[in-house]
Amino acid sequence: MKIYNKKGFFSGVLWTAAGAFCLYRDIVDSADFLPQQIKSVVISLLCLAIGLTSLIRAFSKSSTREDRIEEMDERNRLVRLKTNSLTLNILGYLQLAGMIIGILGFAFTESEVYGFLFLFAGLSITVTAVISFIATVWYEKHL
Amino acid sequence: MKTKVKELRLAAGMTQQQLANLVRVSSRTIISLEKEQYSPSLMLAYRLAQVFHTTVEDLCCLEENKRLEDEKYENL
Repeated sequence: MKIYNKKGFFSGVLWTAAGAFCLYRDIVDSADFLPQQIKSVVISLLCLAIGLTSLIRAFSKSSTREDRIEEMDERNRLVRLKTNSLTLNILGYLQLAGMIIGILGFAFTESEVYGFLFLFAGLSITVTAVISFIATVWYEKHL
Repeated sequence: MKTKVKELRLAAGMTQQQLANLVRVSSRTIISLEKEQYSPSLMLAYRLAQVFHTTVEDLCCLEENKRLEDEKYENL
């Protein structure tokens, strides 16, 4: 048997291994609480199903072709770009909100929790800005 | 962007999946093109034009789309 989609194969192996391991733990070290046990088994079976589907598709030439077309499809790439951009924008607003809440909270309560929130949000804004600057320079040069 | 993809595909008696396979994109891309929600890249437009034995200019109604875009800019 030939592996046509190596990435899909490895992801399939990982999902199958994770699913099988969780299922084994659900059966051997099962919790006494039945609803929790059922939920855990369902999640494990889902992991196993995802893994086995990926494995089967990795060995099929036509499925691999379909997967590649889906991956390289120009609309899908645009959707991915727009999704990432929107996610980053929303994260930016959340970081800003975190910083404002942190600084206001610290000013009014002097609680360390707000101080850490301000520091963490501020640090993540700085890191995002630096990465964004480097990415802009790179794309300005290469596009 | 307005295109003649649906019109030409139906005239050729093709399904969206068949056309998608011919131009190597997903069927969702063809659906979006036909709904005028997505503008194809130059290469995809060229591939589609080749399938339907027409030109990119005709397939993508470039003259009409340019006129509509010009009107939009004039109204700014």
